[in-house]
Amino acid sequence: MDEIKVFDFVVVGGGIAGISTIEQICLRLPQSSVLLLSASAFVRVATTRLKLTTHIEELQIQEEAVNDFHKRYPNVTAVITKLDKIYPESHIIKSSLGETFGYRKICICSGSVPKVVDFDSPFIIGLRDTDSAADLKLKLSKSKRVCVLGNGGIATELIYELKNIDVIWVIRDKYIASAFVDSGAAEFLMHCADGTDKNPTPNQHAKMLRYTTAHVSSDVEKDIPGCALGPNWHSSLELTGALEKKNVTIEYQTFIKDVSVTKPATYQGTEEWPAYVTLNNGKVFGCDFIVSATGVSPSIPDIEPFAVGKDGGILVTQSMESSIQDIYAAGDVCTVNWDVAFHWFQMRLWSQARPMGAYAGLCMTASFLKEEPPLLDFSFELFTHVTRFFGFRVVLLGLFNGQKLEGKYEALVRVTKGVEYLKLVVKDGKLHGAVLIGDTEMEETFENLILNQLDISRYGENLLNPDIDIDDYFD
Amino acid sequence: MLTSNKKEAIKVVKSGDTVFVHNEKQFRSTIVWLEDQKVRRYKIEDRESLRNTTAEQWNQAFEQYLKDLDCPFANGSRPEIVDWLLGLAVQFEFNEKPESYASSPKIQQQTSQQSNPLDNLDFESEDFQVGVVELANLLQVPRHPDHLMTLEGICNVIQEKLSQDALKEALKTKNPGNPVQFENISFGLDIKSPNVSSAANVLRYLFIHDLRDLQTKINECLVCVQALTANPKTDTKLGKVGF
Amino acid sequence: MVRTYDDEMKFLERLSPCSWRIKKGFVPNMNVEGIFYVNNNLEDLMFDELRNACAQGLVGGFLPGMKQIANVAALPGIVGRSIGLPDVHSGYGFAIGNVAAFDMDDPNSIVSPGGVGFDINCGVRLLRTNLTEKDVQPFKEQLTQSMFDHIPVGVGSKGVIPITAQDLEEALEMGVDWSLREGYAWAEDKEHCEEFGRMLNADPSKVSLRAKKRGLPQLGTLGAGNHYAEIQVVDEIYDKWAANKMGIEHKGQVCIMIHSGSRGFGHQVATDALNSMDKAMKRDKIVTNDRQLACARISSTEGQDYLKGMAAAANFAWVNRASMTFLCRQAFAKQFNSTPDDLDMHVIYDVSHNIAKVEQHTVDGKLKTLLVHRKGSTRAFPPHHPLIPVDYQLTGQPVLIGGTMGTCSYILTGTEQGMVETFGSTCHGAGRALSRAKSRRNLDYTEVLERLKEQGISIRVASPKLVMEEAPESYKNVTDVVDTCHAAGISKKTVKLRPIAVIKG
Repeated sequence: MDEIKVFDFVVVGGGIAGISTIEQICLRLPQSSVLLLSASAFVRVATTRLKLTTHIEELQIQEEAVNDFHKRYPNVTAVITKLDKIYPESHIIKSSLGETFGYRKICICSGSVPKVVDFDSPFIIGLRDTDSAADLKLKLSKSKRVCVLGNGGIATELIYELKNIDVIWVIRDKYIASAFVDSGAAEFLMHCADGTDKNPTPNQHAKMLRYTTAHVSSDVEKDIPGCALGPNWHSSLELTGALEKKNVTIEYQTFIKDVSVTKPATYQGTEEWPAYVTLNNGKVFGCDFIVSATGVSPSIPDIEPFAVGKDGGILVTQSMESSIQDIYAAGDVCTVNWDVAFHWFQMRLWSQARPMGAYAGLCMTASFLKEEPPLLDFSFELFTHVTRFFGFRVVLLGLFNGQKLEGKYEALVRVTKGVEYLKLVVKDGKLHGAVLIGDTEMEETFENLILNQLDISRYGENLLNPDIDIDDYFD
Repeated sequence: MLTSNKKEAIKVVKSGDTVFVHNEKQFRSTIVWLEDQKVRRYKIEDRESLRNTTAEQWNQAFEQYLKDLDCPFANGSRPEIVDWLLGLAVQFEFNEKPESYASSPKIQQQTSQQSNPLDNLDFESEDFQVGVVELANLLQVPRHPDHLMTLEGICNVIQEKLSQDALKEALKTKNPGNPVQFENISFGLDIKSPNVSSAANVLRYLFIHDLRDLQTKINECLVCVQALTANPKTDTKLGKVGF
Repeated sequence: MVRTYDDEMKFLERLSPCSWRIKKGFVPNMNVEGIFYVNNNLEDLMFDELRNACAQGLVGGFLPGMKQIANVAALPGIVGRSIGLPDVHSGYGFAIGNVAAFDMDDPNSIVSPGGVGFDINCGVRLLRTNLTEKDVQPFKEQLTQSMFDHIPVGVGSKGVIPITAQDLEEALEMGVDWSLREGYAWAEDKEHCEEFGRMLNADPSKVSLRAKKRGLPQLGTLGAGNHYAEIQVVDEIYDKWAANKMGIEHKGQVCIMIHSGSRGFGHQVATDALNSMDKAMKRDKIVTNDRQLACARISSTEGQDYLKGMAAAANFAWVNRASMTFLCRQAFAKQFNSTPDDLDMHVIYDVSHNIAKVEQHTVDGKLKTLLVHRKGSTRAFPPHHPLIPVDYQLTGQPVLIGGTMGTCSYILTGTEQGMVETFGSTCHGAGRALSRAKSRRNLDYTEVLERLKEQGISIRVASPKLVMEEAPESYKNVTDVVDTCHAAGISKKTVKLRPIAVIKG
């Protein structure tokens, strides 16, 4: 047997978290040997991050061929394979191709897998990774009606992006995009959801981010999932159906009971469809296919008895280390297990994958050099997420839905139909969270007010008074 | 650059022991070492009184020594004196084998005139004096009773107006500069007599001019230092950084 | 105490066509009088604000600018007058556009974070070029994009200017000298900054860990809100000679304005100080008219710590502007295939808007050492002042006035009269507390509210009607502001600039 090659650092997963980890390692220790195990031939690099405010940033994600990545970081060896086994005592890993490597520190960034509905039907597409998104585009071009399942970010974005097709949107909640926004914001957004695309004013110069799916690979092993979708995953895909216009029907508080190819007896219509969907409320729809975008669960390599959290993620300490020494985890696969800052909580989003990865890289190098662990990055002080729903920029800050406040808070609201929606979460005269939809340009002000914990009780609802430039007031 | 050499010298002198200025014994032996090894102001046999570091008269010998060296800090504090002596030592060291410092081109430029043929000229000779007068007439420089002062004036004219840089500059600026409109400028001086006032204004203007020169020199110093400290990945000329 | 508008007017008296006096008694405990500068338009705005406040009582927690100026006049140790500049408007504690000086020799004198502001050393820097509008126009889009692309990102990334925790410590202590050392700034840049781009009393050890953590990812970043970089062209030259001294030769010449500050770092320094001073006030029995005017004696530990932390934040802001300068030069050099040097991209000047400084001024004929708070105000020293750069000894200090994003900007110069009347201070920009663009919005809540109510949380909605019965044209135009400063003689108009492209963080 050949002598086992030992790497200083091994990173499992070529998603945002994994690549951020590697970049940080390479920045601090450019001479160290790093091994990347990537399931896909393409890695995802957060190239430019546009800072919106202190901590809010929009990511520009680019896929890069593993080989090109190696050119940029010559100390990184990339192998396209999956992790099969870890032997913590001997610090050795085995890949699914049977190769073995040694490691000093390893970081698991294997991301998450889409929760697909229980039915096994060829008409259901799970939408989570870039490969399935390309698949979707192809299928759409020949379809007239599609059923969309799920109420998360990707489902919400998808509904907006779909064009020239009938859409039936099946959601479990009372209102759309419930993972992110409140019912009021949902109402605001709904005005723009149906075909009457109001086309919000074109973006200010260069604020629009491009997500280029350079080449979506097709020659990769089929059972290996591609890279998870990132921000603006749809911008390079024209998601257009075969109809003249789009029409959206939303089925609230429902879920799918059955999917079949044969027409159920309860079907009232006359049209023939490739598939029929039966909902729990008894309604039956025909459609060309079903898209499932119902969220994710951590994708833990099935190898070691890590201590896992309730949500199934690998529990990590404040230095991103798992219950097993020298094994770290970052991104969707991990569950934070420290006393987190009051205005922060974990959500499996790319906006958290990046700082987590970078921070894990810092922790690993510090431990490698036997240095003090680094200070917890400030991005763990305040929850921030930026996305785009229905063409609006959506900024979420702190406890934006009153999380942790047990309903004991006040919401301060300002709405201009079709323009902006602002909601502030106020408790005990202090600001704890905010939802900002539209180009409000208030993100930095409210971010500062949450972090400063300044007493704002004397302003009352005037904090959102449109006649007052509150950002200037607190300058 | 020089300071770092000085520091090296200090290292050489006391192999890391830096508090020697406050330790009488070490201080004295350092002075002797410097004279013996680097400065060599006296002939070997004349160094006796300085070498006798335990003698009571050592301080007098030291004072004489500083006087002989024309030390401007003869009455200064010991750190000042040592600093000056080290500077002197470094200078001698450098002059001895400048080629070994060739990697510092800037320094070489500054001090490489050591074999200046002018050093052998007799500045008081009649020939020289006549030459100066001729040159002054040629360049229309007013004559000073002291021909050396006249020479200095000539130097200034040449440096400011006729040096390569100045000529280049003069060619570049087609506009020979705007005459200063003194009457439009407030000089912030409240002087009644118009003659005194305009003289004072001219002086103020010249003072500001001097200040500008000083500031420019400060900037040049900063740029020199910057060449050593700047992040090597940065090339500000290209406006480029990294990669 | 609620007085009628007519009663309030008894305490106000016109001093000159463009200034008003606020007499003692307008608010309780005034140690000195107040003064504010206005022209006709601005005057109407100021008095409308007061009238509204009288009519409705102090609704909404926003005090009218005049009241805020007067409350500051009631702080211990204040000398001269509490000064409101033409762009004065409501701010946290002190109004924005308020200047107040405190006698360093009076043991009761205070320092107040509210008198400096949260975005410590928020300021404006102007670069010139030897390009003309014609040269730039065809490349405007690419140039803007290129400047966007260069907006630096934070810690640990492969950003243009990577910063470590150690770098931050050094930058806090050294200010622009750090940028200079690292090669991001030119030696000439330092010469043209207020304080030479470094406050020497900065002490990073007086800054909380939280502030440092908060500032680290922001060093060398532009920021959001009212922070921006603009490509501008010279629109009008009022004083040719002074403009020449700044390297501004003709109309159409291209300049770059950078508006940025200390961002989250400054906010944390200010917040930390407000909290610690709350306690110190009780201990030292300092009473103020407004809770937001938290302050501490200059000589107290809290006061000293704040001044040292504030200085560190000021240094942070200079490094920020220096980094941005570097990136602008980079972008221009790339676009025009030249060097920043050949493009003559020199810093004309760099001014601070939110800062407190120890300065010497003549008060009642005596030379005094004062702590001058300038919040939303620019220092404007006259010709021959020893603290201004040699290049501007004859013209007076250049004062850079940024308009609201997208409107005109101005260069003024400091005057002797300003030195006498306003502690050498002038306006900083447009008054923006009340913006007319937003009040015209059609607010419609019904459906949204119904949905929210289902969630069972208490809801309050913002309505513009609470403060203003009839929303007047409440926007303070930068031209009005600058003209008033010029007419009052506290600074002199020199150059007007017009934006052609905006880069926003």
